[in-house]
Amino acid sequence: MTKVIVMDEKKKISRKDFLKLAVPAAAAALASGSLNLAKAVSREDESIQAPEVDLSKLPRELVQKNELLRMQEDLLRALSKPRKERKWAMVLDLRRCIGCSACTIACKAENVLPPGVVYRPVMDEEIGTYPKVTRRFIPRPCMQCEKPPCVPVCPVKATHKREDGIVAVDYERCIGCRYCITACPYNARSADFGETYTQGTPKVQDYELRPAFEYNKIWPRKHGASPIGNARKCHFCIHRIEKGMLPACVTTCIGGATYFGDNNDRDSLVSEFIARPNITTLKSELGTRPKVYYIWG
Amino acid sequence: MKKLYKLFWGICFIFGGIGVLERLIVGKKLLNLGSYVTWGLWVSLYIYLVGISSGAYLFSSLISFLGLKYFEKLKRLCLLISLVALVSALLTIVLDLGHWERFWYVFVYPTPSSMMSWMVWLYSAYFLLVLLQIIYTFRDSEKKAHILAMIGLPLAIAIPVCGGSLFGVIGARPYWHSAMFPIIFLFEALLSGMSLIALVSIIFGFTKQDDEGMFNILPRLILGLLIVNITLEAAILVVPLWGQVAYHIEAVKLVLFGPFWWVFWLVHIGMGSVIPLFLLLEKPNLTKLSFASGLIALTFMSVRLNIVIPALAIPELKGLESAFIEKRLMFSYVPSFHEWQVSLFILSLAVGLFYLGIKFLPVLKTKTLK
Repeated sequence: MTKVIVMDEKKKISRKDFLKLAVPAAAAALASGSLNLAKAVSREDESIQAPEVDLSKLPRELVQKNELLRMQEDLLRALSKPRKERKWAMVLDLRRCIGCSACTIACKAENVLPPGVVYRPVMDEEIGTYPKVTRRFIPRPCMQCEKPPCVPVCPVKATHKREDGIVAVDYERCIGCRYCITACPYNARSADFGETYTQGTPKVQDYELRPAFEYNKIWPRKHGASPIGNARKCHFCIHRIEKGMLPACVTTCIGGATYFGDNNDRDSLVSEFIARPNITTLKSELGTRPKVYYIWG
Repeated sequence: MKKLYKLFWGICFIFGGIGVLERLIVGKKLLNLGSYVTWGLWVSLYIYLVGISSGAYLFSSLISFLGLKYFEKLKRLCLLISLVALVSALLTIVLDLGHWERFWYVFVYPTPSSMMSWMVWLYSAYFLLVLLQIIYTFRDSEKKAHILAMIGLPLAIAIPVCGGSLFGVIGARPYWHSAMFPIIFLFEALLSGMSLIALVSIIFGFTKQDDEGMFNILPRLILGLLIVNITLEAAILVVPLWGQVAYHIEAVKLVLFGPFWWVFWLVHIGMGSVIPLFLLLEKPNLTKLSFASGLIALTFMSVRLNIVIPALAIPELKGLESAFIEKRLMFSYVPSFHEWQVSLFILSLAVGLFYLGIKFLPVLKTKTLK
């Protein structure tokens, strides 16, 4: 059971004190997620455990100033509402993205993604000509469109939009026709062909066969069983957020470029960013109304 | 000679059959498709065969509807070819599915917003209709067969239109997203279907030099359809080029000048359009007609490949091609040996089924023209 306890007292703390507290606190928040995940992996038969995050033990100012903690607080506040009242959104501050692809790899590990499946690649754009050259890195998760073109084309309603706005795939229903992949204007969907990175070596490594926890279910990687043969996509780590953890790409972003939260909550960090004039979306002219926003500069 | 053909067919069938077994046992690991170019040879083969099927059926319906006496004797052949091509096409697409064992979900979870759902529903109705029509036609229940042909006419039009719409409705792909697609698919189906009928009818002696009526009309019909198709295709390719908006023309440029330019220029335009056009423009004889129709029917696969693949081989976002480099995250595609192998099975299956039809059904039974 997740607890949301907001502190009343407002302590004044120095910058030095802030850093002293912020670093281990953020690390603890991250660890709680990863420790919990490790627990779930070792106990396939049990439901995925939620971490207990008690933000009340941290100084209020620290929670407000540390973006990761603030997002954590926003997340827990959103979870206290019914699902249909949440509207998950992501903001990517491209000024902060250093193109390390830690988010891509974290996502790969979190969702046990096989070869050929990537939910969040980072595009590397070179701007200008030598010697006046700069680079811009653009992570591309699923846009979780308000009007997703992938949903109406699915012939079996396997791809659907949830109450909280996340576009999800019902792996047990998907027939693997891949029509949705052709319909996505962001190339944000992948097809799982059932491969592993260590195939062709003496032994397919266990870490590739461990189950994924997507959509709050346990998906062991077995020949011919879903999600093999399915269309797959980023789902904002539903299995994590509904247990009080931020998406894997958010907690691993070393530049602090990825923000996540409830856009139906005007006090959330993402709502603050989305209300600013420098916010934009990819291919806005298509009218898909993405819930992934970008700050270009 | 006949034995040699049978031996060749047997080798192709067994060799291809091994590929199908591999597909069923190993899964889809042997395909060269990926997350970006996610449809390839098999989907192209599927729309090729489906085009032939609906084209042949449409032709037979038109024979009944318009009372084209000259072509009356081709009706049975049309029906047999449409059934054989349809069965082969459906098998191809089932093998292409990631979870082929769930194909029946399309009926259990109906989704009217999906053009693919409509396609499956229409094909199911069409399959039953063709089957019934074959039964009635071959039992000489002409009245019932005629009624079915009348019902089948709108269905036969709807099927290629729906096939074209499957691509046309995809707004994310500028190359596909055109109102021309449903229309051109209808004419392409007719052209490919009728060309194959012409070729087969010559091989089996339906169309003879002295059969003036049929011999004069059939080449003209094919010629007319060829010209219509070239015109529509030119519109699809030239209009975006004229517009010069980079986003709209990338796939067109890939078709015309990409690494597989020869598929368009040499196979489709050269062998499948220009040569048949000249052959049909001259005073036709059986050799010319068989060459022209054979070239059109067989090279039509190049048209299908050029519809399916180029649209998917263009990144939707610039930089995606190098964002995460893996074999299945490439924007290029060449069919794997396994894909060709399974395609060979499909084609040999089609030939085998057709042979069985010719052998056991009274397809060659013709009525004397009054």
